[in-house]
Amino acid sequence: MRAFFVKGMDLASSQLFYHALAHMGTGAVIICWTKERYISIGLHQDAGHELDMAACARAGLPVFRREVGGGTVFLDPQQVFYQVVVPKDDPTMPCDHGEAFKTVTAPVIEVLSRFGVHAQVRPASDLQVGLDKPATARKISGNAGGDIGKCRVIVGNVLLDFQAARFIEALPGPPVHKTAVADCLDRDITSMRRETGRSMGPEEVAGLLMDAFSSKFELGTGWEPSIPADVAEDMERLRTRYLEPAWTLGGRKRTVPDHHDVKVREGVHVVSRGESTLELREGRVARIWAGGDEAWEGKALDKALIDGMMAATGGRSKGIENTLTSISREARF
Amino acid sequence: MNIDGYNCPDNLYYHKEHMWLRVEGDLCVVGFNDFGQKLAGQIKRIISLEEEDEVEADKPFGTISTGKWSGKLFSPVSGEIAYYNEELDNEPSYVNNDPYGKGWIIKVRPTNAQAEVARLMKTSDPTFADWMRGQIVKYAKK
Repeated sequence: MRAFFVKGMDLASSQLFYHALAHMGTGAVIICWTKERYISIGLHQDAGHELDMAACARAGLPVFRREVGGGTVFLDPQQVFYQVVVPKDDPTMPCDHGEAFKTVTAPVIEVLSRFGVHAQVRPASDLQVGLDKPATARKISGNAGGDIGKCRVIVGNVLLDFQAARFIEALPGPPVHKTAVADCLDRDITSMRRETGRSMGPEEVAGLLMDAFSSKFELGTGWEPSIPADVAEDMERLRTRYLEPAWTLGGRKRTVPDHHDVKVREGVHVVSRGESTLELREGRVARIWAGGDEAWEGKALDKALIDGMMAATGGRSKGIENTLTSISREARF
Repeated sequence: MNIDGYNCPDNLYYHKEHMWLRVEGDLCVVGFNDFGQKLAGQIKRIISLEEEDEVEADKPFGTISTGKWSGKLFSPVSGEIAYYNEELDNEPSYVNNDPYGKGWIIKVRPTNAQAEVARLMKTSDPTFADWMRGQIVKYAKK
């Protein structure tokens, strides 16, 4: 496998590089970061539903639809990316997706522990700290995977710092939905700065990641500091596809969900439909907003209250009921 | 035929990317086989080319999502998509729960059926069971 350590890439290159390697069938580990802020959505997401595209434009946030799974993520220079590309027949990456995520995140967990940050895999693919108490666990790294071209690919990040305000601006939905998401992001997403009490630059973490990945994977000729010409040529070819609005906005439009669902981390969702917003935490409804700014939570959230609220809110009760029903099905609530 | 817990009905054709095919009049019904769906895990969304779109044998016509992972669906034959199973938009779990029934994905109007179907595998092929076992050893969940 080849190894690349590339600093401060533009947003397109930070995504197109691993896509190009995968289409070429070239196994590689990339450690990099971007010098730009942008939003990336998963292959199966609908940008027009997941995001307020006009707000993204106003906030200067380009959107890139990647060819791997997972959800909407805000990416900026305060994150270090690791991207692992493995030919399909190479046994380096287990075919079981859960095992593949464990293999790729093992070096990351090792690096975090050197800073005193003890993270664990929270299936499917989060790295979370404080997992001994799941309700208050915090995500420090997100990961996603997919089959691209001739390869299997896993991409992930380590959050050095996290500023959610711009991300919130880009979300669709009522103000209370954004308030709930912002509150959960603050509670459920952490960073190296928050966990260690100090700021750190990407090179400090990237250097250790390079050592750890070198120990775990059979990397060939050392870390190359730039994108090779042959790969750059392929990236140019892919650029016309992946940067086209038709690709970004693509995906089938037959069934657009009638609710907004932001997965803050494994175990925590904020879901809105109509005037009702729910915070789902570890399989339980943690808070409900029923058309106003007031959240119902804790002991007030017993079934009798929910039933009473449904009855009292007239037309809105259907929204709450439908939301609970669909989330029960989708999140196995 | 059941091979180490993977159901492979005898009346179907099989493609190396773990798709199945059934000839139904002048159409080819295509789906994801039992091994493929089990390896993928719980399927949450499917994106496919549309009706009247052209598909090419051995090339992807769609993708599946299991949340954190996205994978490809390959067409066993070339032709035009006549039907897409719209029920999968609301119930993608049919591919997991009933891969050879309600979980069919597309129906293709083939342009070269005779040659392309002939090169697919059947359970009666002497090498089929060995091939499947090889796939299980190579790819299946431990």
